[in-house]
Amino acid sequence: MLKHCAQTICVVVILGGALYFGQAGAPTNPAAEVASEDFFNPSWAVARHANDSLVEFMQSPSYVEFTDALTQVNHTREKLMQTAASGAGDSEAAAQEYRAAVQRLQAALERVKERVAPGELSMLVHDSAYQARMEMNDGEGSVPPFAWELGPHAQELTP
Amino acid sequence: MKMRNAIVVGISWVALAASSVVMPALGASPNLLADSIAEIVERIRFPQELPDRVRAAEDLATFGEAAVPVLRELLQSDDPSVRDAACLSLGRMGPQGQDAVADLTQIAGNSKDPLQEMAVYALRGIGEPATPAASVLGELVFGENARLSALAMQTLGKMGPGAAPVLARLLEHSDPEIRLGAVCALERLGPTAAGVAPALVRAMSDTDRSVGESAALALAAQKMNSAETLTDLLDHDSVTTRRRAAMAISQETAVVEQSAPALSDALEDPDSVVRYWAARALGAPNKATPHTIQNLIMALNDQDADVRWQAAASLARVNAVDEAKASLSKLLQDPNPMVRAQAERILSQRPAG
Repeated sequence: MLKHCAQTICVVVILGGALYFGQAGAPTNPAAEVASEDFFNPSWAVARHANDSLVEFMQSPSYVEFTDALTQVNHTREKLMQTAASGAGDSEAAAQEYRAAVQRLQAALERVKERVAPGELSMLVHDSAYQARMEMNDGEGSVPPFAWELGPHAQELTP
Repeated sequence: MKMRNAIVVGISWVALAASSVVMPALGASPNLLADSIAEIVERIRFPQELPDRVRAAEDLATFGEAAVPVLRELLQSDDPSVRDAACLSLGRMGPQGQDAVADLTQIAGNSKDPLQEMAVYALRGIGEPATPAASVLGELVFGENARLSALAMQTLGKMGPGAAPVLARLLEHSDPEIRLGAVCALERLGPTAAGVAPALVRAMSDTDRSVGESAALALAAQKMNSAETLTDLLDHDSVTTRRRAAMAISQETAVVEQSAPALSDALEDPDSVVRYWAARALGAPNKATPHTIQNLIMALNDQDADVRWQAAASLARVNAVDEAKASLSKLLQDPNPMVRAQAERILSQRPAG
Protein backbone atom coordinates (compact mmCIF):
# COMPACT_ATOMS: atom_id res chain seq x y z
CA MET A 1 0.00 0.00 0.00
CA LEU A 2 2.80 2.35 1.06
CA LYS A 3 4.65 1.58 -2.13
CA HIS A 4 1.62 2.35 -4.27
CA CYS A 5 1.01 5.66 -2.48
CA ALA A 6 4.65 6.60 -2.84
CA GLN A 7 4.63 5.75 -6.50
CA THR A 8 1.52 7.83 -7.06
CA ILE A 9 3.08 10.84 -5.33
CA CYS A 10 6.26 10.37 -7.30
CA VAL A 11 4.41 10.21 -10.60
CA VAL A 12 2.42 13.33 -9.73
CA VAL A 13 5.59 15.22 -8.77
CA ILE A 14 7.49 14.11 -11.89
CA LEU A 15 4.58 14.78 -14.23
CA GLY A 16 3.87 18.11 -12.59
CA GLY A 17 7.50 19.13 -12.98
CA ALA A 18 7.63 17.92 -16.55
CA LEU A 19 4.46 19.81 -17.40
CA TYR A 20 5.62 22.98 -15.64
CA PHE A 21 9.10 23.04 -17.13
CA GLY A 22 7.97 21.63 -20.46
CA GLN A 23 5.45 24.44 -20.79
CA ALA A 24 8.09 27.11 -20.24
CA GLY A 25 10.25 25.96 -23.10
CA ALA A 26 7.60 24.55 -25.39
CA PRO A 27 7.49 25.98 -28.90
CA THR A 28 4.30 27.84 -29.65
CA ASN A 29 2.13 27.23 -32.67
CA PRO A 30 1.91 30.38 -34.80
CA ALA A 31 -1.24 29.17 -36.54
CA ALA A 32 -2.96 28.54 -33.22
CA GLU A 33 -1.87 31.91 -31.90
CA VAL A 34 -3.34 33.86 -34.76
CA ALA A 35 -6.44 31.65 -34.95
CA SER A 36 -8.43 33.95 -32.72
CA GLU A 37 -7.67 36.99 -34.84
CA ASP A 38 -10.03 38.48 -37.37
CA PHE A 39 -10.02 36.35 -40.50
CA PHE A 40 -10.09 39.33 -42.83
CA ASN A 41 -7.87 41.65 -40.90
CA PRO A 42 -4.43 42.00 -42.51
CA SER A 43 -2.95 42.45 -39.05
CA TRP A 44 -2.89 38.63 -38.73
CA ALA A 45 0.07 38.79 -41.05
CA VAL A 46 2.33 40.04 -38.29
CA ALA A 47 4.80 37.21 -38.26
CA ARG A 48 5.75 37.07 -34.63
CA HIS A 49 7.64 33.84 -35.05
CA ALA A 50 9.29 34.67 -38.31
CA ASN A 51 13.01 34.85 -38.93
CA ASP A 52 14.77 38.10 -39.74
CA SER A 53 14.64 37.76 -43.51
CA LEU A 54 10.93 37.01 -43.35
CA VAL A 55 10.25 40.03 -41.15
CA GLU A 56 12.24 42.07 -43.66
CA PHE A 57 10.21 40.56 -46.51
CA MET A 58 7.09 42.05 -44.98
CA GLN A 59 8.38 45.44 -46.15
CA SER A 60 8.86 44.21 -49.72
CA PRO A 61 6.84 45.51 -52.68
CA SER A 62 5.16 42.15 -53.33
CA TYR A 63 4.11 41.58 -49.74
CA VAL A 64 2.78 45.10 -49.30
CA GLU A 65 0.86 44.67 -52.57
CA PHE A 66 -0.59 41.46 -51.12
CA THR A 67 -1.83 43.14 -47.93
CA ASP A 68 -3.24 46.05 -49.97
CA ALA A 69 -5.06 43.59 -52.23
CA LEU A 70 -6.45 41.75 -49.22
CA THR A 71 -7.72 45.00 -47.73
CA GLN A 72 -9.36 45.78 -51.06
CA VAL A 73 -11.09 42.39 -51.11
CA ASN A 74 -12.46 43.02 -47.62
CA HIS A 75 -13.61 46.48 -48.61
CA THR A 76 -15.37 45.44 -51.82
CA ARG A 77 -16.89 42.41 -50.13
CA GLU A 78 -18.38 44.59 -47.42
CA LYS A 79 -19.70 46.98 -50.03
CA LEU A 80 -21.26 44.12 -51.95
CA MET A 81 -22.92 42.71 -48.85
CA GLN A 82 -24.35 46.10 -47.98
CA THR A 83 -25.67 46.53 -51.52
CA ALA A 84 -27.19 43.06 -51.46
CA ALA A 85 -28.75 43.57 -48.02
CA SER A 86 -30.27 46.97 -48.71
CA GLY A 87 -31.34 46.24 -52.28
CA ALA A 88 -30.27 49.77 -53.14
CA GLY A 89 -27.39 50.55 -55.52
CA ASP A 90 -25.85 48.68 -58.40
CA SER A 91 -25.19 45.18 -57.10
CA GLU A 92 -23.74 44.00 -60.42
CA ALA A 93 -21.15 46.79 -60.35
CA ALA A 94 -20.32 45.93 -56.74
CA ALA A 95 -19.96 42.26 -57.66
CA GLN A 96 -17.63 43.14 -60.53
CA GLU A 97 -15.53 45.30 -58.25
CA TYR A 98 -15.31 42.42 -55.80
CA ARG A 99 -14.30 39.93 -58.50
CA ALA A 100 -11.60 42.28 -59.74
CA ALA A 101 -10.28 42.64 -56.19
CA VAL A 102 -10.19 38.85 -55.79
CA GLN A 103 -8.25 38.48 -59.03
CA ARG A 104 -5.74 41.09 -57.89
CA LEU A 105 -5.39 39.23 -54.60
CA GLN A 106 -4.76 35.94 -56.40
CA ALA A 107 -2.00 37.51 -58.46
CA ALA A 108 -0.47 39.14 -55.38
CA LEU A 109 -0.54 35.89 -53.44
CA GLU A 110 1.15 34.12 -56.33
CA ARG A 111 3.97 36.68 -56.26
CA VAL A 112 4.39 36.24 -52.52
CA LYS A 113 4.46 32.45 -52.84
CA GLU A 114 7.23 32.68 -55.39
CA ARG A 115 9.34 34.85 -53.11
CA VAL A 116 9.25 32.98 -49.80
CA ALA A 117 10.86 29.66 -49.00
CA PRO A 118 8.68 26.62 -48.18
CA GLY A 119 7.62 26.74 -44.58
CA GLU A 120 7.85 30.50 -44.45
CA LEU A 121 4.52 31.02 -46.17
CA SER A 122 2.45 29.60 -43.33
CA MET A 123 4.21 31.96 -40.96
CA LEU A 124 3.45 34.85 -43.26
CA VAL A 125 -0.07 34.06 -44.31
CA HIS A 126 -2.82 32.99 -41.95
CA ASP A 127 -3.53 29.33 -42.65
CA SER A 128 -7.25 29.69 -43.15
CA ALA A 129 -6.91 32.78 -45.31
CA TYR A 130 -4.32 30.94 -47.35
CA GLN A 131 -6.65 27.99 -47.69
CA ALA A 132 -9.42 30.30 -48.84
CA ARG A 133 -7.19 31.78 -51.51
CA MET A 134 -6.16 28.31 -52.60
CA GLU A 135 -9.78 27.35 -53.03
CA MET A 136 -10.28 30.38 -55.20
CA ASN A 137 -7.28 29.37 -57.23
CA ASP A 138 -8.80 25.98 -57.86
CA GLY A 139 -11.49 27.82 -59.75
CA GLU A 140 -14.08 25.11 -59.39
CA GLY A 141 -15.56 22.67 -56.98
CA SER A 142 -15.80 24.96 -54.01
CA VAL A 143 -17.20 28.33 -53.15
CA PRO A 144 -14.74 30.75 -51.57
CA PRO A 145 -15.43 30.93 -47.83
CA PHE A 146 -16.26 34.59 -47.84
CA ALA A 147 -18.73 34.07 -50.66
CA TRP A 148 -20.53 31.53 -48.49
CA GLU A 149 -21.49 34.30 -46.19
CA LEU A 150 -23.30 36.02 -49.03
CA GLY A 151 -25.94 33.31 -49.06
CA PRO A 152 -28.00 33.50 -52.26
CA HIS A 153 -25.27 35.55 -53.94
CA ALA A 154 -22.62 32.90 -53.43
CA GLN A 155 -23.18 31.21 -56.77
CA GLU A 156 -22.81 34.34 -58.85
CA LEU A 157 -19.53 35.12 -57.10
CA THR A 158 -17.94 31.73 -57.54
CA PRO A 159 -14.86 32.34 -59.68
CA MET B 1 4.71 20.81 13.95
CA LYS B 2 2.09 18.63 12.29
CA MET B 3 2.79 20.42 9.03
CA ARG B 4 6.55 19.77 9.36
CA ASN B 5 5.96 16.08 10.04
CA ALA B 6 3.68 15.90 7.04
CA ILE B 7 6.36 17.48 4.83
CA VAL B 8 9.02 15.08 6.11
CA VAL B 9 6.75 12.09 5.48
CA GLY B 10 5.89 13.40 2.05
CA ILE B 11 9.54 13.84 1.11
CA SER B 12 10.31 10.34 2.34
CA TRP B 13 7.55 8.90 0.22
CA VAL B 14 8.75 10.76 -2.82
CA ALA B 15 12.31 9.54 -2.27
CA LEU B 16 11.10 5.99 -1.79
CA ALA B 17 8.93 6.10 -4.86
CA ALA B 18 11.65 7.70 -6.93
CA SER B 19 14.06 4.98 -5.96
CA SER B 20 11.56 2.29 -6.95
CA VAL B 21 11.14 3.87 -10.34
CA VAL B 22 14.71 4.91 -11.00
CA MET B 23 16.51 1.89 -9.60
CA PRO B 24 15.71 -0.48 -12.45
CA ALA B 25 17.04 1.99 -14.96
CA LEU B 26 20.19 2.70 -12.92
CA GLY B 27 21.02 -0.93 -12.49
CA ALA B 28 19.34 -2.48 -9.51
CA SER B 29 20.48 -5.90 -8.40
CA PRO B 30 19.87 -8.44 -11.21
CA ASN B 31 17.62 -10.64 -9.05
CA LEU B 32 15.41 -7.73 -8.02
CA LEU B 33 15.21 -6.63 -11.65
CA ALA B 34 14.32 -10.12 -12.89
CA ASP B 35 11.64 -10.48 -10.21
CA SER B 36 10.11 -7.15 -11.15
CA ILE B 37 10.12 -7.94 -14.84
CA ALA B 38 8.69 -11.40 -14.23
CA GLU B 39 5.94 -9.88 -12.11
CA ILE B 40 4.98 -7.46 -14.89
CA VAL B 41 5.15 -10.16 -17.56
CA GLU B 42 2.61 -12.13 -15.54
CA ARG B 43 0.33 -9.09 -15.66
CA ILE B 44 0.72 -9.07 -19.44
CA ARG B 45 -0.02 -12.76 -19.79
CA PHE B 46 -2.85 -12.88 -17.27
CA PRO B 47 -4.27 -9.42 -16.72
CA GLN B 48 -7.03 -8.98 -14.16
CA GLU B 49 -8.68 -6.50 -16.53
CA LEU B 50 -7.83 -5.55 -20.07
CA PRO B 51 -6.45 -2.06 -19.25
CA ASP B 52 -4.06 -3.71 -16.81
CA ARG B 53 -2.30 -5.36 -19.75
CA VAL B 54 -1.67 -1.97 -21.31
CA ARG B 55 -0.43 -0.56 -18.02
CA ALA B 56 1.85 -3.56 -17.59
CA ALA B 57 3.26 -3.05 -21.10
CA GLU B 58 3.98 0.55 -20.29
CA ASP B 59 5.57 -0.43 -16.96
CA LEU B 60 7.78 -2.94 -18.72
CA ALA B 61 8.95 -0.26 -21.14
CA THR B 62 10.45 1.70 -18.24
CA PHE B 63 12.97 -1.10 -17.72
CA GLY B 64 14.54 -0.33 -21.09
CA GLU B 65 16.89 -2.80 -22.72
CA ALA B 66 16.78 -5.08 -19.67
CA ALA B 67 13.23 -6.00 -20.67
CA VAL B 68 13.95 -6.55 -24.37
CA PRO B 69 14.84 -10.28 -24.17
CA VAL B 70 11.57 -11.09 -22.47
CA LEU B 71 9.64 -8.85 -24.86
CA ARG B 72 11.17 -10.70 -27.79
CA GLU B 73 9.90 -13.93 -26.24
CA LEU B 74 6.44 -12.41 -25.84
CA LEU B 75 6.47 -11.50 -29.55
CA GLN B 76 6.48 -15.25 -30.25
CA SER B 77 3.47 -15.91 -28.01
CA ASP B 78 0.40 -17.72 -29.38
CA ASP B 79 -1.82 -15.08 -27.80
CA PRO B 80 -2.16 -12.06 -30.14
CA SER B 81 -3.01 -9.82 -27.18
CA VAL B 82 0.27 -10.65 -25.52
CA ARG B 83 2.17 -9.94 -28.74
CA ASP B 84 0.24 -6.69 -29.09
CA ALA B 85 1.32 -5.67 -25.58
CA ALA B 86 4.93 -6.55 -26.41
CA CYS B 87 4.83 -4.29 -29.47
CA LEU B 88 3.31 -1.51 -27.41
CA SER B 89 6.02 -1.87 -24.81
CA LEU B 90 8.82 -1.85 -27.40
CA GLY B 91 7.31 1.18 -29.11
CA ARG B 92 7.17 3.07 -25.83
CA MET B 93 10.75 2.14 -25.01
CA GLY B 94 12.32 4.16 -27.80
CA PRO B 95 15.88 3.43 -29.04
CA GLN B 96 16.50 1.00 -26.19
CA GLY B 97 14.31 -1.49 -28.01
CA GLN B 98 16.97 -1.82 -30.72
CA ASP B 99 17.62 -5.54 -30.14
CA ALA B 100 14.04 -6.36 -31.11
CA VAL B 101 14.25 -4.66 -34.52
CA ALA B 102 14.82 -7.91 -36.44
CA ASP B 103 11.79 -9.59 -34.80
CA LEU B 104 9.59 -6.56 -35.42
CA THR B 105 10.77 -6.27 -39.02
CA GLN B 106 9.77 -9.86 -39.65
CA ILE B 107 6.27 -9.21 -38.30
CA ALA B 108 6.00 -5.91 -40.21
CA GLY B 109 6.87 -7.67 -43.45
CA ASN B 110 4.22 -10.37 -43.04
CA SER B 111 0.93 -9.16 -44.50
CA LYS B 112 -0.90 -12.10 -42.94
CA ASP B 113 0.23 -11.26 -39.43
CA PRO B 114 -2.51 -9.37 -37.54
CA LEU B 115 0.24 -7.61 -35.61
CA GLN B 116 1.73 -6.05 -38.73
CA GLU B 117 0.58 -2.51 -37.93
CA MET B 118 1.59 -2.76 -34.26
CA ALA B 119 5.06 -3.89 -35.31
CA VAL B 120 5.42 -0.82 -37.50
CA TYR B 121 4.20 1.29 -34.60
CA ALA B 122 6.92 -0.25 -32.41
CA LEU B 123 9.58 0.37 -35.06
CA ARG B 124 8.47 4.00 -35.25
CA GLY B 125 8.92 4.29 -31.48
CA ILE B 126 12.40 2.78 -31.64
CA GLY B 127 13.31 5.39 -34.23
CA GLU B 128 16.77 5.62 -35.80
CA PRO B 129 18.07 2.24 -34.52
CA ALA B 130 15.21 0.67 -36.53
CA THR B 131 16.90 1.73 -39.78
CA PRO B 132 17.56 -1.91 -40.85
CA ALA B 133 13.78 -2.18 -41.30
CA ALA B 134 13.78 0.56 -43.95
CA SER B 135 13.49 -1.73 -46.92
CA VAL B 136 10.46 -3.60 -45.52
CA LEU B 137 8.84 -0.30 -44.57
CA GLY B 138 9.44 1.02 -48.07
CA GLU B 139 7.44 -1.92 -49.45
CA LEU B 140 4.62 -1.15 -47.02
CA VAL B 141 4.52 2.47 -48.18
CA PHE B 142 3.90 1.23 -51.71
CA GLY B 143 1.21 -1.17 -50.43
CA GLU B 144 -2.55 -0.80 -50.77
CA ASN B 145 -3.31 -0.29 -47.08
CA ALA B 146 -3.35 3.51 -46.85
CA ARG B 147 -3.22 3.61 -43.07
CA LEU B 148 -0.27 1.24 -42.90
CA SER B 149 1.40 3.10 -45.75
CA ALA B 150 1.16 6.41 -43.87
CA LEU B 151 2.44 4.83 -40.66
CA ALA B 152 5.37 3.24 -42.48
CA MET B 153 6.20 6.60 -44.05
CA GLN B 154 6.20 8.29 -40.65
CA THR B 155 8.50 5.57 -39.39
CA LEU B 156 10.92 6.00 -42.28
CA GLY B 157 11.01 9.71 -41.47
CA LYS B 158 12.67 8.91 -38.16
CA MET B 159 15.39 6.69 -39.55
CA GLY B 160 19.08 7.16 -40.13
CA PRO B 161 21.18 7.52 -43.30
CA GLY B 162 20.73 3.82 -44.12
CA ALA B 163 17.14 4.60 -45.11
CA ALA B 164 18.21 7.14 -47.74
CA PRO B 165 17.99 4.77 -50.77
CA VAL B 166 14.48 3.71 -49.75
CA LEU B 167 13.44 7.34 -49.26
CA ALA B 168 14.87 8.20 -52.68
CA ARG B 169 12.74 5.45 -54.22
CA LEU B 170 9.65 6.89 -52.53
CA LEU B 171 10.13 10.10 -54.51
CA GLU B 172 8.49 8.15 -57.35
CA HIS B 173 5.35 7.39 -55.29
CA SER B 174 2.04 8.48 -56.81
CA ASP B 175 0.86 10.19 -53.60
CA PRO B 176 2.33 13.70 -53.21
CA GLU B 177 2.01 13.42 -49.41
CA ILE B 178 4.32 10.42 -49.45
CA ARG B 179 6.75 12.18 -51.81
CA LEU B 180 6.76 15.20 -49.51
CA GLY B 181 7.36 12.98 -46.49
CA ALA B 182 10.31 11.34 -48.23
CA VAL B 183 11.80 14.66 -49.28
CA CYS B 184 11.49 16.08 -45.76
CA ALA B 185 13.13 12.98 -44.31
CA LEU B 186 16.01 13.34 -46.77
CA GLU B 187 16.36 17.00 -45.86
CA ARG B 188 16.61 16.02 -42.19
CA LEU B 189 19.37 13.52 -43.03
CA GLY B 190 21.31 16.28 -44.80
CA PRO B 191 24.81 15.41 -46.01
CA THR B 192 24.59 11.93 -44.44
CA ALA B 193 22.11 10.87 -47.14
CA ALA B 194 24.62 9.85 -49.75
CA GLY B 195 23.81 9.09 -53.36
CA VAL B 196 20.35 10.62 -53.44
CA ALA B 197 21.21 13.81 -55.36
CA PRO B 198 20.00 12.53 -58.78
CA ALA B 199 16.62 11.54 -57.31
CA LEU B 200 16.31 14.92 -55.60
CA VAL B 201 17.16 16.75 -58.82
CA ARG B 202 14.37 14.83 -60.57
CA ALA B 203 12.00 15.63 -57.70
CA MET B 204 12.77 19.33 -58.08
CA SER B 205 10.57 19.36 -61.16
CA ASP B 206 7.72 17.60 -59.31
CA THR B 207 4.30 18.83 -60.37
CA ASP B 208 3.45 19.36 -56.72
CA ARG B 209 4.95 22.68 -55.71
CA SER B 210 5.67 21.71 -52.09
CA VAL B 211 7.46 18.54 -53.17
CA GLY B 212 9.53 20.36 -55.82
CA GLU B 213 10.58 23.18 -53.52
CA SER B 214 11.29 20.86 -50.61
CA ALA B 215 13.38 18.65 -52.89
CA ALA B 216 15.50 21.69 -53.73
CA LEU B 217 15.92 22.42 -50.04
CA ALA B 218 16.83 18.79 -49.34
CA LEU B 219 19.50 19.03 -52.02
CA ALA B 220 20.86 22.24 -50.47
CA ALA B 221 20.88 20.53 -47.07
CA GLN B 222 23.57 18.24 -48.48
CA LYS B 223 25.74 21.35 -48.32
CA MET B 224 29.03 21.10 -50.22
CA ASN B 225 28.07 17.69 -51.63
CA SER B 226 25.39 19.36 -53.70
CA ALA B 227 26.88 22.82 -54.33
CA GLU B 228 28.07 21.96 -57.82
CA THR B 229 24.78 20.31 -58.79
CA LEU B 230 22.70 23.24 -57.57
CA THR B 231 25.03 25.72 -59.27
CA ASP B 232 24.62 23.88 -62.58
CA LEU B 233 20.84 23.96 -62.16
CA LEU B 234 20.91 27.78 -62.23
CA ASP B 235 21.47 27.31 -65.95
CA HIS B 236 18.69 24.75 -66.44
CA ASP B 237 16.24 25.14 -69.34
CA SER B 238 13.24 24.93 -67.02
CA VAL B 239 12.47 28.21 -65.30
CA THR B 240 10.85 26.31 -62.40
CA THR B 241 14.06 24.39 -61.79
CA ARG B 242 16.17 27.57 -61.96
CA ARG B 243 13.84 29.28 -59.47
CA ARG B 244 13.94 26.38 -57.07
CA ALA B 245 17.72 26.04 -57.34
CA ALA B 246 18.26 29.75 -56.62
CA MET B 247 15.82 29.62 -53.71
CA ALA B 248 17.51 26.58 -52.20
CA ILE B 249 21.00 28.06 -52.57
CA SER B 250 19.84 31.22 -50.79
CA GLN B 251 18.87 29.09 -47.78
CA GLU B 252 22.30 27.49 -47.39
CA THR B 253 25.21 29.80 -46.71
CA ALA B 254 27.77 27.05 -47.30
CA VAL B 255 26.51 26.62 -50.87
CA VAL B 256 26.30 30.35 -51.62
CA GLU B 257 30.07 30.77 -51.52
CA GLN B 258 30.70 28.18 -54.21
CA SER B 259 27.74 29.35 -56.29
CA ALA B 260 28.54 33.08 -56.10
CA PRO B 261 29.78 33.50 -59.69
CA ALA B 262 26.76 31.64 -61.07
CA LEU B 263 24.44 33.61 -58.80
CA SER B 264 25.94 36.84 -60.15
CA ASP B 265 25.10 35.63 -63.66
CA ALA B 266 21.63 34.67 -62.47
CA LEU B 267 21.00 38.34 -61.66
CA GLU B 268 20.60 38.66 -65.43
CA ASP B 269 18.22 35.71 -65.78
CA PRO B 270 15.17 36.51 -67.93
CA ASP B 271 12.92 35.44 -65.05
CA SER B 272 12.41 38.00 -62.28
CA VAL B 273 11.87 35.34 -59.58
CA VAL B 274 15.26 33.78 -60.34
CA ARG B 275 16.86 37.25 -60.20
CA TYR B 276 15.10 37.92 -56.89
CA TRP B 277 16.44 34.74 -55.27
CA ALA B 278 19.92 35.31 -56.69
CA ALA B 279 19.94 38.80 -55.17
CA ARG B 280 18.79 37.39 -51.84
CA ALA B 281 21.42 34.63 -51.89
CA LEU B 282 24.21 37.10 -52.63
CA GLY B 283 23.35 38.92 -49.41
CA ALA B 284 24.91 36.11 -47.38
CA PRO B 285 27.31 37.75 -44.93
CA ASN B 286 31.06 37.65 -45.71
CA LYS B 287 30.55 35.99 -49.08
CA ALA B 288 30.63 39.05 -51.32
CA THR B 289 33.42 39.71 -53.79
CA PRO B 290 33.94 43.03 -55.66
CA HIS B 291 32.40 41.33 -58.71
CA THR B 292 29.32 40.29 -56.71
CA ILE B 293 28.91 43.78 -55.29
CA GLN B 294 29.15 45.27 -58.76
CA ASN B 295 26.43 42.94 -60.02
CA LEU B 296 24.20 43.73 -57.06
CA ILE B 297 24.64 47.45 -57.75
CA MET B 298 23.56 46.84 -61.33
CA ALA B 299 20.53 44.93 -60.03
CA LEU B 300 19.38 48.16 -58.34
CA ASN B 301 18.27 49.17 -61.86
CA ASP B 302 16.27 45.96 -62.42
CA GLN B 303 12.84 46.40 -63.96
CA ASP B 304 11.27 44.33 -61.16
CA ALA B 305 10.62 46.22 -57.92
CA ASP B 306 11.23 43.19 -55.71
CA VAL B 307 14.63 42.61 -57.28
CA ARG B 308 15.65 46.25 -56.74
CA TRP B 309 14.37 46.07 -53.18
CA GLN B 310 16.21 42.80 -52.47
CA ALA B 311 19.46 43.95 -54.15
CA ALA B 312 19.47 47.00 -51.86
CA ALA B 313 18.88 44.77 -48.81
CA SER B 314 21.72 42.45 -49.84
CA LEU B 315 24.14 45.31 -50.44
CA ALA B 316 23.42 46.53 -46.92
CA ARG B 317 23.92 43.04 -45.56
CA VAL B 318 27.35 42.65 -47.15
CA ASN B 319 28.36 46.12 -45.92
CA ALA B 320 28.68 47.56 -49.42
CA VAL B 321 26.52 50.65 -48.90
CA ASP B 322 29.47 52.99 -49.51
CA GLU B 323 30.23 51.46 -52.91
CA ALA B 324 26.53 51.54 -53.80
CA LYS B 325 25.75 54.98 -52.39
CA ALA B 326 25.19 56.71 -55.75
CA SER B 327 22.87 53.99 -57.06
CA LEU B 328 21.02 53.69 -53.75
CA SER B 329 20.47 57.46 -53.75
CA LYS B 330 18.79 57.14 -57.14
CA LEU B 331 16.33 54.67 -55.59
CA LEU B 332 15.04 57.52 -53.42
CA GLN B 333 13.14 58.55 -56.57
CA ASP B 334 11.97 55.00 -57.37
CA PRO B 335 8.36 54.68 -58.59
CA ASN B 336 7.68 51.96 -55.99
CA PRO B 337 7.17 53.35 -52.46
CA MET B 338 8.59 50.24 -50.75
CA VAL B 339 11.80 50.48 -52.79
CA ARG B 340 12.11 54.16 -51.87
CA ALA B 341 11.55 53.29 -48.20
CA GLN B 342 14.21 50.57 -48.40
CA ALA B 343 16.78 52.98 -49.90
CA GLU B 344 15.93 55.61 -47.32
CA ARG B 345 16.32 53.15 -44.45
CA ILE B 346 19.64 51.80 -45.71
CA LEU B 347 21.16 55.20 -46.44
CA SER B 348 20.06 56.59 -43.09
CA GLN B 349 21.65 53.64 -41.25
CA ARG B 350 24.97 54.10 -43.03
CA PRO B 351 27.67 54.97 -40.48
CA ALA B 352 28.86 58.60 -40.66
CA GLY B 353 32.19 59.24 -42.39
